[in-house]
Amino acid sequence: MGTTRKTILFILQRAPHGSSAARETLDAALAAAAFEQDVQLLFSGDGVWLLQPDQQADAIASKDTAKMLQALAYYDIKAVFADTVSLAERGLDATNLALAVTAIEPAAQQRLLRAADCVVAL
Amino acid sequence: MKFALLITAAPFSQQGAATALRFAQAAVKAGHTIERVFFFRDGVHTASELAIAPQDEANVPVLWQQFCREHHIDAIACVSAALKRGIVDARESQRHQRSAANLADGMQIGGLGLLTEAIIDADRVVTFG
Repeated sequence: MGTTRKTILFILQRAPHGSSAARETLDAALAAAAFEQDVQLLFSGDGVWLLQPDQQADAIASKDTAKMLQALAYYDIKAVFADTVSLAERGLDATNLALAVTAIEPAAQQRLLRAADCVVAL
Repeated sequence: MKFALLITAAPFSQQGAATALRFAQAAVKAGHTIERVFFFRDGVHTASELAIAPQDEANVPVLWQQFCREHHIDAIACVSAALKRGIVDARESQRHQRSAANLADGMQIGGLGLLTEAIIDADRVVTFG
């Protein structure tokens, strides 16, 4: 593998607590970042619920995904995007989220998908 | 072309694991290489040697295990996903003081770094969920 650096886009498309998909996608993204890959995240569909602030995951003995989101910065993951349509549909305010994201329109997401070397969506 | 496969589908509840196997068989037959198969989430059940299927149903775990052995394909079950689901090799069994191990011959247990490595090395990564 050596010095190869790929752009890997991880799409978070599932709500945080109904299944482990979102958490495990984040796990895979953090692992890729630890291997110094160019990691990008796109929150889309029910995945934008990960960005809802003030979740109380401990009430259902679930893991707090906000902590994982905070870890992104330590792994130098800065390319974090969210779908404007998914946010609007769910009444989420892009300026008041658990993580600072760049809200982008579907057309910009298409460009992101096209430019990535690999897309992982669980 | 060098493929890496990411399989999250459970072998008996979802079609994905069987479809992935047919994809892998077709790819090898066409002269392509499967760099690595990474089993993640419920896909790790494919690495158990204890799966027993009724006679009229395909034993997807066993078919996958045979395929990987036959073609010397690197097959990894994600360690955190596997341990949670009771898929353990002798080393993990001992380490966690369990009485048995059930990882099938030809399968290995490894971390998500091996998924990253597969993504880096492969020309294409195909996910089967």
